[in-house]
Amino acid sequence: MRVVELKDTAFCYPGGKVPVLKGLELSVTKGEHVGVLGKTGSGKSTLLGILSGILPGRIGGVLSGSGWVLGEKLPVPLEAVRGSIGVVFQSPEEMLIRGRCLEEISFSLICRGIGHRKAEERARNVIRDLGVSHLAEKRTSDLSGGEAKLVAIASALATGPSLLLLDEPTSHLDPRGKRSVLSTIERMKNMEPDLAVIQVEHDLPSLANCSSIVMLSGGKAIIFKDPDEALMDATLHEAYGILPDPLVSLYRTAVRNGIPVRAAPRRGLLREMGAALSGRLPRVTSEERSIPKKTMSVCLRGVSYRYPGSGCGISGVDLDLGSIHSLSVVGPNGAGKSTLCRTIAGLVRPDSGKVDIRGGSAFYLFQNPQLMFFADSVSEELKGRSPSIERVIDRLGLKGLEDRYPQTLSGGEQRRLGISLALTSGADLLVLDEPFSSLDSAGVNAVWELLEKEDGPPYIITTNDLEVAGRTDMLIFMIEGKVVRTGVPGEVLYDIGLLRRAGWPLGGAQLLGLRSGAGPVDGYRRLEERISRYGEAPDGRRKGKTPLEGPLPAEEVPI
Amino acid sequence: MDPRVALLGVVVISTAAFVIVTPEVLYLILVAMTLLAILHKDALSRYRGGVKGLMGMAALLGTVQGVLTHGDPLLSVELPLLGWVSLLSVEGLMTGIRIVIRVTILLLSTLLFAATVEETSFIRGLRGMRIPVSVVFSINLVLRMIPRIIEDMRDVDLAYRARNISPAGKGYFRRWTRFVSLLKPLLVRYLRSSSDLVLSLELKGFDGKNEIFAEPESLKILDMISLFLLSAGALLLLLHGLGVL
Repeated sequence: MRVVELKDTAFCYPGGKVPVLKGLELSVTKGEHVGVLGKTGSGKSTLLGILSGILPGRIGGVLSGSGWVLGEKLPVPLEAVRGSIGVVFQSPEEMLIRGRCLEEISFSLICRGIGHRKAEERARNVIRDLGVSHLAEKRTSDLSGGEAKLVAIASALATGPSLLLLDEPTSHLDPRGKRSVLSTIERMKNMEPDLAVIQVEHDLPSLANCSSIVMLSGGKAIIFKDPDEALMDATLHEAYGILPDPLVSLYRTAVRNGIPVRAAPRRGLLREMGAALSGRLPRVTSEERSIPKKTMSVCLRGVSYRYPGSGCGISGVDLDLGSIHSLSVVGPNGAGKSTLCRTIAGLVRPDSGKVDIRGGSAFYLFQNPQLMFFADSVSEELKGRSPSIERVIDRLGLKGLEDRYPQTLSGGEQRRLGISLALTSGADLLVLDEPFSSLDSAGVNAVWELLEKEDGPPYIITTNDLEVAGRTDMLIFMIEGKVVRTGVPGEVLYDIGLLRRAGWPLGGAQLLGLRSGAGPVDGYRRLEERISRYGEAPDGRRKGKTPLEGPLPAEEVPI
Repeated sequence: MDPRVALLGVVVISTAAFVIVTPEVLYLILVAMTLLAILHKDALSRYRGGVKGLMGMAALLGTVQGVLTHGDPLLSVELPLLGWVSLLSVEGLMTGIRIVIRVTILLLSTLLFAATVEETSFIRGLRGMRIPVSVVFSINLVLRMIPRIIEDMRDVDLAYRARNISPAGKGYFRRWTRFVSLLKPLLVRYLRSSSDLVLSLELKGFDGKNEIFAEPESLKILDMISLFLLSAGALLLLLHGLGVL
C-alpha cells in the first residue's frame, strides 16, 4: 500500500525565479525505507517540507502537480497529517522544549489529548524499545548532539506515525553518535514494520540499510530500487556532486588495477577487498611524507582550561607543533577539540599553562560560522580582503550571493563564506573547526584545493572524519579533554586499541590495512596510491596471488 | 523542597530582609542563609562568577548609603576636584553594612532557589499555582533559551576577537557598542530558529490551550512544616509592617 504518491510535482519558494523541484515523480510504500541523496540545494529538505505540509502551507511558495500523502491531496494540509507524520529536523537540539527527555517525548502525546500518566507510560515504552531508556530522566539541556537526535526520533515515534521524515539525522555526529542513531532507526523499523521512513542524507554510508534510494538532481528524482546501484557507483556520485564513499573509491581503484573484487554489497565489498588485497599492499612509512614550504610553530605546555560552571574543557595539554603544514584534531564529540583550537588561536585564555605561537597571527573559524558574520551583505563581509578574494569567491561558488544578508544564507553557503573569510584573512595560521561539515562534494574539493595550494598558510582542522584526518601531516587524538595520541595519521589511525577506547568504528582502510598485513597506511588516499601499485610487495618484488582469507569479525565491519 | 514552598520562601525571606529593622534578626537571617548556602555549596558553585559582580555592586551601594547617612563623624575625606568633604559616621557605617547584608540575603535566597529547584518542577509548581498554561509555557521557553543565548553571546564576542573587529571606544562604552552590534545577527538567528520552533510545536499538535503540564506532586511532611513556618513568618512580617509588633 502506498503512503506517498507524487506526480509531476514542482515547487518554487516565494520570490524564487527557478523552481527547486520540477517534474518530480515519487512513490513510497508501507514499510519502505527511502534514502534521499543530492548535492546542496537539490531540494532534499524541500521534499520533506512538501510531504509534511510545511510547504507551501506555512512558508509559502508555489506548488504544482498532483499526488497525495497518507491519502491527503497536495498541497498537504499540516493539521490533517500531523498526527500521522513524524518529522525530525536537521538540528533537533534547538527544538527541544521540555526540561526532561521523558517530558519531551510524551509532549506530542499530551498535545493530542492523551492523559499525562498514559502519555508517560507510552513514552517509556518507546524509549525502552529503542534502547535509549538511560536518557529518560536526563535534562534536555545536557544532551549531546547525538542524544538530542535520539530523543527527537523517539518523540516523533511516540505518536505511532505511518510516515517518518528524517532530515540528515547523522550530520555533525561523531562515529559513535552516528552508529547509535542508525541502529536506533533499525530498531524502530523492527518495532513498526509498516512504518515508511524517508531519510535525507549527505553521508552515503548512513544509507546502507535503505530499501531504495532517491537521487535528486535538477529538480527531478532518479529512483534506485536496488540501493547498492546508487551507493556503489562512484561515477554516479561524481556526476551528481555527492560526497564519495571512500570505500567505493577504493573499489574503483582496485578494479581499475585489475584486482579481482566483485561488486558485492557494501558490507560484503569490504570483506572481498580485504581478502583480495591481502599481503599485496606495500608498507608506507611516515618518512614518505613531503614537508610543504610553510610550516606552523605552535607550542603548548601544560595547558588546561575549564568552562565556568561545567567540567568540560582541556587538561594538561603538551604539544610541540613544528615542521608541519597541516594538523587534524580528532576525537569524540565533547572531547575538547574546539576548546584546544580556541586556545591555540588565542581566543581562550588557559587557566594554567603556556601557549606560544611563533610567527604571527591565527584565524579561527567557528564550527557555526553564522556567529562570525556582522555585515549586511556578503560583499561587505569580504570587503578589503586579500587580493586572492576573487579566486576564492569563484572557487567556493559564492558568486551571485554578493547582495545576500549573510545570516539568511543556507548552512552550506555560510560555511563557504566562513572559509573564504579564513582563506583571505592573511593570517599566518588557520584554525578551522569542522570546515567540511554541511559541504557537498564540490565544496569539499574546492576547500581542499584552496587549503593545499602551494603558498597557503599552515592549518589546523578539527574533524571526525578519518579520511579527512588522513590527508593532514599530523594528527592528534583527544578523549575527555586530554591529548591521548599524537603522530602521523598512518600511525594514529591504526592504533586500534585507542579507537576502540574512543568508541570509534574501524574504517574500511584500516581493516584493509590490517587484513592485508600492510601495516600503517595513512588514510584512504595513501591506500589508493598503494592499490595503484597492486602486486608490488613491500620489498618491491612482484608476487603471485594469495588465497582468500577467512571472513572479518562482524563487529569490525563499519556501518 | 516543593517549588511552591521554595518560591514562597524566597518572597518571605527577601521581604523580611528589607522590612525588618532590628539588626539582631537581620544577622540571624543572614547566618541561617549562609548555613543553607554552605549546605548547598556544590550546587551554588556554578554561580560563583556572577556572585562576585553582584557582591561588588552591593558593596558600592552600601558605601554610597554609608557616606550619605549623617551622624557623628569618624573620618572626613575631602574630594579635591569638587571641593566636597565626605564624612563617615558610625551610623553611616552601620547603614552601609546593613544594606550589604540585605542585598546578600536577597541574593542568597534567589540563588539557593535557582540552584536547588529544578526547572521542570518549578514549571510544574507555577502551573500548580493556577498560573495560565500560556504564561507558564512562555516562562518554560524563556528558561530553555537563556543558557543558549548566553552561550551564543559569548561565542559572538569571541568571533569579534577572532576577526579582529574592535568597536570604537574604551571600557564600558566599548563593551556596550560591542553588545549593541551583536544584537542584530543574534536577533536574525533567533527569528529563524523561533519559526522552526513554532513549526515543530505545530507538528506536535500544540495549540496553546492544551494542558501540557502535569499536576505537581502533593506536599510532603517537610514541605508542610516549611509552609507552616513560612506562613507564620509572613504573618509576623505583616503584623510588624502594620506596627502591631
